[in-house]
Amino acid sequence: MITGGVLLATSPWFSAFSEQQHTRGEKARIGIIGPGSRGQHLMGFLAANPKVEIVAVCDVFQPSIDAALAIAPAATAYTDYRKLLDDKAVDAVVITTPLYLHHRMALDAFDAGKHVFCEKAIAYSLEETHAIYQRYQQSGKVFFVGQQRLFDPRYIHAIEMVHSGEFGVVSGIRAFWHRNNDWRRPVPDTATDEQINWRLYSAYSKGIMTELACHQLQIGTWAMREIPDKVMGHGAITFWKEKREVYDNVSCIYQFDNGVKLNFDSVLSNKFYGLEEQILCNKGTIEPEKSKYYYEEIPPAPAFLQMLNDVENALFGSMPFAGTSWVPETANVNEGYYLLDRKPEGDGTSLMLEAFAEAVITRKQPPLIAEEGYYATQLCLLGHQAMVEERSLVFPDEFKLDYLNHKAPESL
Amino acid sequence: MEYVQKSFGQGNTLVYAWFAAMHTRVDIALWTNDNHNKQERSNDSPSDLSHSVFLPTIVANIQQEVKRVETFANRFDPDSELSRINRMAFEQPVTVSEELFALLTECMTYTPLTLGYFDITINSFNGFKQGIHNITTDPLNRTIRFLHPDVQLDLSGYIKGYVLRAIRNMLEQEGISNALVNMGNSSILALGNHPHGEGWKISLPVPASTDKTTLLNTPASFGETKASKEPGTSGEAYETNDFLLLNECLSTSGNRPDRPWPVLNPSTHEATQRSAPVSARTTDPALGEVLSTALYLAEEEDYLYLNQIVMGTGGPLKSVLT
Repeated sequence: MITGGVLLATSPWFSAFSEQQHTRGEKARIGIIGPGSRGQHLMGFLAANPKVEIVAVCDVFQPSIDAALAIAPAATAYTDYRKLLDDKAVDAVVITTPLYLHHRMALDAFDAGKHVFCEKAIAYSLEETHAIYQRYQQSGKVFFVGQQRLFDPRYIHAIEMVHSGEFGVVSGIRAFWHRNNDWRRPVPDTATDEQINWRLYSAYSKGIMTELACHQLQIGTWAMREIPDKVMGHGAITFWKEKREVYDNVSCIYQFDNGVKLNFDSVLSNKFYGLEEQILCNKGTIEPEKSKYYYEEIPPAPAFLQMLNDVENALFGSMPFAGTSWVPETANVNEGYYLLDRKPEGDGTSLMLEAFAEAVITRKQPPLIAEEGYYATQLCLLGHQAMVEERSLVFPDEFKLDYLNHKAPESL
Repeated sequence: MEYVQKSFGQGNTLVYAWFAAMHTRVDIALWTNDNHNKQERSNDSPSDLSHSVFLPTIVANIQQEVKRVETFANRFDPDSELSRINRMAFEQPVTVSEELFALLTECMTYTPLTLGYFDITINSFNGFKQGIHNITTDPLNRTIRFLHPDVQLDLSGYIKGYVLRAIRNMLEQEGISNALVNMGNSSILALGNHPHGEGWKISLPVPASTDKTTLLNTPASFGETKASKEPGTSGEAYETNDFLLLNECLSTSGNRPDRPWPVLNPSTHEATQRSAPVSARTTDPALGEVLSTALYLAEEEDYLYLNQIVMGTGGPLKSVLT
């Protein structure tokens, strides 16, 4: 189920899997807070994991409870999350409620001695996100954020190649996520529009930034191994104007200390280019979502490199020429190379949840996961603030952690 | 162009250079022995410079030559001379440069000699099949004219061999007797020797299920086929087919076993997809391109006939071969 052996070597946070042999037979007892569509998606993976027991579910919306119990029939159902937190049978919680509810629930969960998996974005504001991170640190509990690209083999391999210097110096990152729909979901008679379509209301969500940008901004910090300290941007409602308070068209520029930019764009009325994070280096380009990379210049032939090696060792070796690299009927197109030698399976969500279960069982927090999640949230919130205030913003010192190029205020 | 240079043994220098051209990578490895060359040159050359000093310049000149040919023969480049012909030759006779006129004329002579299998009009518009019979040339005025609006010329099945021919001449003029030039793994020129052996050993992958009789792997093959597996393929087992090349060329059609590339059959305009690639070894690289294409497409009876030609045992192409 887990390919941790290979991945452990390339991604330090895969230490979550390092003791998986010793935890055989043990179970992480998990409660789900807010099993809506995303929560049910995560429950599907959790229910399939023999090391997980979904012992409780909680929602204020009965259809969500019914759907959750269909996945985990033995779970105790609650309508008040605080009752779920009082349940001693629960080791850890998965929080998949609307964004504005994360803050209170995560703090209460840590206070109740639970390990926490919180969907991204972590919280609605910079202050709330910082408060959750601090409470996590004080608690000694495990804290995961739903940044599944950290566990996606395509992304792991891509970032490994970037860090190895294979593509030279990172010169820019262009992230975009385009869709062509209004995000609106049908509202049943038993619910309000705010309950179902909370993503469209500014009191509950920061829209595109907290729902989409959060994933992609994390790729920027992961690739650069640095937090960008400046951001500017513009947002607007340009197409889906009905009952929408959040932008449907945004563009943000984050700048790293060396001047490299991380651009994020999203248009919700055109899906032609879909989503991608293009990591632009002076010797190559990586598109992890497509699972491809491209060299600026053509790379040397392996057979000739082997021949050079043979010459040094006084060998008369055969030169293996794999299939033709000739593309006879197309114009000059750089087809690139695949990051993986197989079709990608999933997007890392399954591995992320397996890692969470392992961490809950071993009570050990893997490195980087909380911090990468923290900064992904803070950066998307800061970008949103820059758009609302229509000015360039600098990352506030009071929200810095001891991480990468940042120092926490108390460390200074 | 990028290159690496290595010294080895007593006065030997090897340069490996690579660059992108003609929709693929061109690899050039050449080596020389300064001690040997110094003795040879001592009587007629006052220069004290080692021969190896010039190797990077030689490969740079080769790159220029490849680019020069690509500039006039690339049908995807709207500014190329070939594109100009394709655009205008139905409307009026188009005057063609001496070099391209000779090249096109040579290509057209191969069509009847290969029983129609090699055809530079194969990519005509709308699947037009009689392209080769709808071209007129005027050698005196060096013009070419199309008699049908769908006729289009495509040199992509030939041009790499043409370039290899030019490269071989350049290397001979520069006194380089040991070199291996590879264009996209489908067209290989091997001159002289590997630094540690006679000739150059080349391995090409073929599906394990291949009927070996479809491979032109005689008479100078070496070793045995070896089971291996190509990374990134669907899992079918592959073997390597080994060739020892000495002052000759190897042209291969259909050698993309993970993603077989269909070659259009001029008579039917249907894509042919053999289970195995077909390689032709010849002394002339351009002719190798013609033959590997023709053999890849050929029906069984024609295949045997063309194969005999390749083996030098008969047929109208024998004179061309020699």
